[in-house]
Amino acid sequence: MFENAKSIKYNKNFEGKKNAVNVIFNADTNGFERVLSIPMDEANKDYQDILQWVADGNTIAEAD
Amino acid sequence: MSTIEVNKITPVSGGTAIQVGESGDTITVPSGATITNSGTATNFTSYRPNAQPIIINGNMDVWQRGTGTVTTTGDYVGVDRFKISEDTDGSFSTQRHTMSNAEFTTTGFGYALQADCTGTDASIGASQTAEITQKIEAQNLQLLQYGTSNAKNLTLAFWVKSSKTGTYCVAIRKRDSTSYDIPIEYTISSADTWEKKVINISPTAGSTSLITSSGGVIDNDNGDGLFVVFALAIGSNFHGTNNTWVAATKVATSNQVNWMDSTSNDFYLTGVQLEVGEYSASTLPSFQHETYAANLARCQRYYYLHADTAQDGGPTIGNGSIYNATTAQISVDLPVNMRTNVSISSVNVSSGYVIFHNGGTTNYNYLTVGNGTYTSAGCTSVMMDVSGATSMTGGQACWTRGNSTGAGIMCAFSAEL
Repeated sequence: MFENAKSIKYNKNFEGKKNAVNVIFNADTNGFERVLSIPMDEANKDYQDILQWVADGNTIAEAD
Repeated sequence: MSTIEVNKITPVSGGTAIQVGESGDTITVPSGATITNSGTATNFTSYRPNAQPIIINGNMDVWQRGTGTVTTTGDYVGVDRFKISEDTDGSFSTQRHTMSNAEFTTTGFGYALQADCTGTDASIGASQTAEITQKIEAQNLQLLQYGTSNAKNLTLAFWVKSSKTGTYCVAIRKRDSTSYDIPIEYTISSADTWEKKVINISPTAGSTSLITSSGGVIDNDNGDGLFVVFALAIGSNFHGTNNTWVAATKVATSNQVNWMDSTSNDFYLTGVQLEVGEYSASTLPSFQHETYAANLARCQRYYYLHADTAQDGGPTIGNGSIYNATTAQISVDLPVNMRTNVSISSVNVSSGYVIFHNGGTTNYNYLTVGNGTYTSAGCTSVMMDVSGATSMTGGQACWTRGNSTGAGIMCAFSAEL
């Protein structure tokens, strides 16, 4: 589901709390890197996919 | 024409029923005349318990992500509300098909979803699939009364056309509690010819009681309710018995054609409607045509395209305030109450976005989830942060827009099922 991802990192809000996961995908055919910023809400389908990706043995990188 | 003038017609002595005409006759009520019902009218089949179509965008009118050709392995890519999934050794693309006058005359629809096989897989692996799916939100399906002895019959109808004839399958996948699936066969009889299919879905199909038992319930929430799956090629692991509910992932039968076997294969779909009740082709209620605006608004509960350079080279995104040197909070009010907290789509471009503040500008690279939490009732506004900005001054007001022509979707929000 994130095979084409260039990076998957936590996002921190201005209070320094993790509040999302940012997925940056490799450039598309037009040369643009798409970004998906996913809230850490288990009702969000993209976050469900992130949790599955982690359950499959992958790790979310820490925020910059 | 002869005329009989009477005030009342009654059955012959001892009778209780009156018949008008014979089977095959047409009984005409002239324009301007009115039939009133002061008793009980039965078997008039146009009654519909849902005010709006259960299937959203069944006429394929709304394509917020774009109408052009897109190849994907599993995502929402073009037409709204229909997920395109493919994990075979081949590939297929989808795009919007504009109906010719002849097609419009036949179907009554202006657009269709067009799928084209672009890479073949002559032998579908046991766990491989190619399919088109609409996922229906659970709380919109309470009228089905699934999980009770009063579970309703359903009728799925749609227009379909393909260069490849044969047996195809649709499947209804019931989520929540225990997941139950039912694959149902239909036949595309004539190549490259629009055919209307009308398929009945009984809650007890296959003499089962899964849907009428407690495990058949669809929760009254904003999660997955039913999946309506149009199979193109399905591996044997997911083959079930025709028209029989089962507690397993079964989205086709072994008779399903392998649509992925030739790059000459295409598949067109439109006019998808799901009705409560059991109908035939002759009794099926008409497709519920909504205005484009109403249809778009229903799609926007799941995906909202906010700013797109295909529409405007420097699209406005929103207003906000600068918190510190690297952080600005940008708020956007959504046009409808979206299903959940939304994911934010943007583009990672150096200086792809610009903030205007205090007589100057600051560039940044993409948008992220900002501060703010939402309730389970849904999401009515979004607070975003910016990534890549430097040297801003906290406390200033600001507004921001896209700054990168040709990037396409600059800001969109997703709460898909």
